[in-house]
Amino acid sequence: MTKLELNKLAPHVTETDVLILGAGAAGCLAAIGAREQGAEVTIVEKGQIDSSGCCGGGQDHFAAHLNTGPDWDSDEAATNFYAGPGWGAGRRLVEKAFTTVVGPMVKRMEDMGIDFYKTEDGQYWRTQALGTPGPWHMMMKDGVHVKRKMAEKVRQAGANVIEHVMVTRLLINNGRVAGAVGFNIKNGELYIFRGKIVVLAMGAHQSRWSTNSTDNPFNIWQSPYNTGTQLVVAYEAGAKVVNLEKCVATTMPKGFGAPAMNAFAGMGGFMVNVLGEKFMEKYHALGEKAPRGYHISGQRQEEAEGRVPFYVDVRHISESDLKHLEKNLLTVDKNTFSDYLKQRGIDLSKDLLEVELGEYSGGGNIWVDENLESNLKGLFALPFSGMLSTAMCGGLVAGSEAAKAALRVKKLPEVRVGDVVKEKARIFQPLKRDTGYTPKEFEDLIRQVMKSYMGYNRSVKGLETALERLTQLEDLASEIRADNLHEVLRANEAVHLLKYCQLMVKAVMERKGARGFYRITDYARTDIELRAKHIALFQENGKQKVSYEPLD
Amino acid sequence: MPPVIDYKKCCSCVTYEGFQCEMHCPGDIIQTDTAKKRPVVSYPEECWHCGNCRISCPVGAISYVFPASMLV
Repeated sequence: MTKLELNKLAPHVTETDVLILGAGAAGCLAAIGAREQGAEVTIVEKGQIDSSGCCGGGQDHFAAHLNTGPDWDSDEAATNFYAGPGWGAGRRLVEKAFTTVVGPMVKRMEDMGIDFYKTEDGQYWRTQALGTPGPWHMMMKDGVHVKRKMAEKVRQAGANVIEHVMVTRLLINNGRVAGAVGFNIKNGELYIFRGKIVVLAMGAHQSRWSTNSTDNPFNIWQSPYNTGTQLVVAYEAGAKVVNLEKCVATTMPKGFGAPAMNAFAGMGGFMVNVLGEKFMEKYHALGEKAPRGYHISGQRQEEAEGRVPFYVDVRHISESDLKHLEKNLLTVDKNTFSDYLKQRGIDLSKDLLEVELGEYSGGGNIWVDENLESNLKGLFALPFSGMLSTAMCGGLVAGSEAAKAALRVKKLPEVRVGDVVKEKARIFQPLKRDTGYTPKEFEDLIRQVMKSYMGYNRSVKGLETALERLTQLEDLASEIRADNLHEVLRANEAVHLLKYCQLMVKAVMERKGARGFYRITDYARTDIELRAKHIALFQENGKQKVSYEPLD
Repeated sequence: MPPVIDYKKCCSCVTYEGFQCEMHCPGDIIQTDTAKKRPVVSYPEECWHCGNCRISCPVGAISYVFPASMLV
């Protein structure tokens, strides 16, 4: 199939060495890494690369060990912290995609114009939070523009940047990935991408299936615009998807989907219950600086014993630290934080801030080998992620490895026209209906099922019921209607959300125990045999399969 | 509902592709009102409150007004 023939199907046909799908922090660094190896790069993003992804509106912290001497600041400490079931990657991959990369990444960021706060003696100012073995959390100056600076570097590096295009399917041929299909969310034009190698970098957190006290699935901690697309397209193409059973939550300001505990804990704030008691030290020796899971289990226990609601108290910290917290951290991590405080009438120097247990955020990533290539030939991805530093480091290594592989591929893989024709019809099908479910009505049905059976307390029977109900929704998916392109976007996201939820429930069942901030009443403990393994879901000849992969 | 565009300040900073706030919105909730030739917040209930529209606005025409559900 020539480019001219493909052009008859879609007005935009792009051919490249390395095709990067997603331009958050991971995708941007993947593009930079691939360009540095000399490969041609095309990077595709649903938003605009200057502002897309979880750090698009800003980021306050960057977690890094710097090998300055103490044990907690060493490579060994970093690998020990990230390797294992919690983050969902083995030691070899953690070393390759993070431990050995993060030090040079700090220098790279400074070269991009991203500076860090320093102490009076010229050392990096770092704080401790979220269970890190020491103060790893560096703080960025002008963190509001961190993504814009990354984007500038991507453009300078010469990557071909395609924005406002949602990718909906991977194209495969002869057992390898050959490209992807997507559509422009602003004008509806179809895009065909052909790549020697494809890198997936479309996000680490999927949360739109769960809500906090506001019941608004868009008012949440992690980006609501990620509905699991990369996991679904990879699964449908035959790649193994792992860590789907991981599930986290956070303590967030009452009614405001924003992160905060990293900054509050780092600057010396603490949580109190309704009686005004500090309670976190009952649940972990590090108190508020404990891993996020202990914040959640601690609050669950306090809640069970009736000591609700909860508050964050920073009234005791110094005036200068409070100013730094408000101006340089909270309003950088979420740009609208100060608006929220103001409109709630809260003065942190005098008032307690009410907090709540937020919505769930589901995990998942593509299983990759030591070169970050998946079982589907030509498809590369990050071995784990979840925060800015892991995204940037993993992205850089994935892009670099992808480029090396692309330069060894002589001929651009062919794409099958029939697949494109079929996908084009599927993408725009909701526009042809006058009646049916709006994307929101359809997603509400998914959330109704998930809220019933995939909350904090889960059981095998409940999970089986969830799978049955989600399967029923598959039939209704063909009844989603869209009146405009925005609704076509949401309709496609909703279809991916349903598939993602089905995969997540299945993975939780297969784990035979909890791997996240929930419990399964049938299993008092996680199956020890399974603990050190990945549960991988994949498709073979249209049938779902499960395999157990070593976590090494 | 957030965000709110002050049309007295909005300079209709249209680039080749569209208005800055529209282009930078990661959720496609801000769109172009073709009749009035200005950006409009079409889907306020789908806002993540990330601040990208405000950060990208060259004249400070955007503010955030949270709905009652986030303040009760």
